[in-house]
Parts: sequence; structure tokens; C-alpha cells
Amino acid sequence: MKTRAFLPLLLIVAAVLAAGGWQWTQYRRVDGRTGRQWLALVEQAAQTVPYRAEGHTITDGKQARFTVDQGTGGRYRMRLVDAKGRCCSLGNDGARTWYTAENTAESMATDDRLAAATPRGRITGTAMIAGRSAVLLAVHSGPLRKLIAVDRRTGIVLSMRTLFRDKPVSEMQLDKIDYREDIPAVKAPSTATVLQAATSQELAKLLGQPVLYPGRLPQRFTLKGTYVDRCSGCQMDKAVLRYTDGLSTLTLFEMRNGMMCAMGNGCQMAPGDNALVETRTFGNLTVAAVGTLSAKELDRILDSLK
Amino acid sequence: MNCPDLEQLAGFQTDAVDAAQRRRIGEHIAACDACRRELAALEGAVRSVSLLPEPAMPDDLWPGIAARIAPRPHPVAAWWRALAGAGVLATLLVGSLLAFRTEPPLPAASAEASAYVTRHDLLSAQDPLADRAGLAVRLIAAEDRP
Repeated sequence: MKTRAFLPLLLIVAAVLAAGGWQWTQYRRVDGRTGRQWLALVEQAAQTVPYRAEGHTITDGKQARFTVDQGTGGRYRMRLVDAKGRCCSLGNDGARTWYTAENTAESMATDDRLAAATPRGRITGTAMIAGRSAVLLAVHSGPLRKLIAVDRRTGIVLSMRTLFRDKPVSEMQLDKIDYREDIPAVKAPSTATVLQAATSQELAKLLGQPVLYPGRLPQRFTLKGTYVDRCSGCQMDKAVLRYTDGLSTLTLFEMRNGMMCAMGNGCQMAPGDNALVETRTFGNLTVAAVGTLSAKELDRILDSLK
Repeated sequence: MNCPDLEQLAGFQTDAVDAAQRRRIGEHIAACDACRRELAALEGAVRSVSLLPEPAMPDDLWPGIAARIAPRPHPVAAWWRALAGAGVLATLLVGSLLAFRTEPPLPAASAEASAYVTRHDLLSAQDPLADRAGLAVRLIAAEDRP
């Protein structure tokens, strides 16, 4: 009888303790910064802190080593060699992102007209990575989760572990980092430009009808850029809308006349562990949604297009 | 021997006494008029009772008795059975919910779907939390696809 009388009180105490614990993880500070403030610093450092670094990655079970020259203004050049000796170069010269592999070389405009969202994260601890003192952060959005280590003095990401639907997708870690000002200027090679920034009027013109925008998006998702994409195979232009919440990403490809020939209407595919694809037809328009989101969320977004 | 009491006479009359006692009572009755009269009255009463009609049993008598004497389930055992049943139901419910939560496996990727993902990944490469090294590995792997 006495236990029954105390049960509601015990439940209230347990709820208060749980809420307090959750609040503590959200507002835990290292060097006076909360998890969210560290992530804001990461965003700022990616644009302002130059460095040269070497590191390694295991992605989809494949190992590779890389070097990276990071300049200011988002400029960088990364060279990566996998276990079979195959190379890939990836970079950004402030206006275009490009990549070159053995048989492919493409570039696309970087559209920074719209501000990026800063994701929410919580501090999980501190560690030494690449000889640097780092704060450890856990960031998640939908099925995507990242565990990152951030240099406590500069805000540069020193390591990153990515999980999608609780399954490890990739691990990246810098083995050596050298902060220096004399990073050579990065210039994009002259390659085929596959994506060009475009206004919604320009996109409506190529589609022959207004662009479809999602009426419903996951929380904190914002429009990051609008592009036109020319398919090298079918030569059909697509309208491209890019959304992000600072961690998860969503890209909508819209095109006329149902040209998603190989995929078909309502087709849903899992090209890798890092994103899902789903397509749907709206009258004369076919839309492919690609995102680091759950299939149900992609479905809901497509349902809300108008 | 003194005169036997009524209980001893009834025992003699119904043959419910041992042989020695029966012999002593029989010898006494043979010599005692009062006891002979008493025994005769007793036999007459027994005869009168045997002539009475046998009362009929009511139809609902036995079911009522049977219900009262039937073995009843132990209250604690019943409680455990109810709890076990609730446990099984809860397990089924939670299992069903988990089964519905799990997303079904998706079909394998086509080259076209992979191309969309490559575009999507490249667009995301400028994000502060983008895994560019992972993207580069995937770009190399994409070249292996037909």
C-alpha cells in the first residue's frame, strides 16, 4: 500500500531526472561552447582556416588515403588514391565544385546565395586526434548520424564517422594536419559543367510549367540552391532543387515527359548506404527525390509537391 | 446381567454387536419379560419406518451439490495465467510494431539512380559536415558500374 502511494512520486522524480540528463547533454560545454556553438564554429572554420592535411578513409568497406589543401572561401583540393591505386581529385575554386576520376571529369556551380542551416549536436567528450586536442560531437538528422572530432583551437573537423540507418557507412580521419597560410590557389580544370545555378523562372521556362516545390519538409530543412542539370545522355534539362538541415540533404530532380526511363514511376532504389532515391510522375513532370532520409520521409515529401 | 439399554437392544436387533455380547443379551431377554417387550416394540418401530414411502430426490439437488464440490482453480494460479496471457499479447503487439517499423529492403540501384546520387553528393560536398573523402571513394566506385 505504501509503495503504491509513492509510485506517482517516484515516476515524477524519474521524469525530472531524465529531463535534466537530456538537458545536460544538450547544454554541456567544452571551452565555453555548447554542441551547437561548436558546429557553428565548424561552419565558419571551413571558410576561413587554411591547412594542409593527410588522412585515410574506409567508405563502403573500401580503404583509401588522401591529401587535402584547404584554402579560404571554401576553396579546396583533395587527391585520393584507393587500395587498387585508382585516383580521384575533388575540389572547389570558390565558384565551382569539380571532380576528376579515370574516365569522368565533371564540374558544377556552387550556389551560395542561400544560407546553410546549422545542425544540432551534443558534446560527447574530448580526445586527441592527429596530435590535436579535439572535442567530440554527435550530430543526427533522421536516419543519418555523424560522430565528429573537432580541433578545439581551430574548429576544423579532424575525424568523422557516418552512420545511415544505424549502419556504419564511412570513417574518415586526418593523420597529420599543418595549419599554414601559403596554400596555393585552387583553379577548377575546364571540364564539362553539369550543373549551373538558375532562378526559379529559368527552371519554369525549361520545364514548360512552374517548378514543383515541397509543401512539407522535415524540420529545419531549408532551400539551399536551385540549378539546371543537363543530362549528357538524353540531353534533357532537369530542374534541381537542393535542401539541407545542415546535415541531412535532399535533392529534387524535375523533368518533362517522364524521362526517368530506367527507373519508372514510383520506383524506389537504394544506390548505396548513403542515400535513397524515389521517383514519381505528376502529369507531364517526373520527379526523382534523392536524400539521406528514410523512404517514408521521401514519400511524404513527394506527396506534398505542388 | 442387568437389563441392556436401548442402544444395546438396537444393536442386538440389527446384529451390530459381537458374538459374546449377543449371547449374553439373548440369554437375558429369554429370562426378562420387560426386555422382550422392549425388543418387540423396537422391532415394530423398525417395521413401521420400513413401510413409509421413499421420498423422491429433487432434480436440481445433485447439480447444486456437484457445483459446490467441484475443484475450483487456485486464485493465485488464475492470476499468473492472466499475467502470462497479457505478456504474450504485449510481446505480439511490440513485435508487430517493430516489424512495421523496419523498412523493407529496396531493389538494387540502376546506373541512372546512381547518377542522381552522385549529383546529390557533389551538391552536398560544400557542406561543412560533408564527408568529401567518402564521396571521392564513391566517385571511383561509380566508374566500375556499367
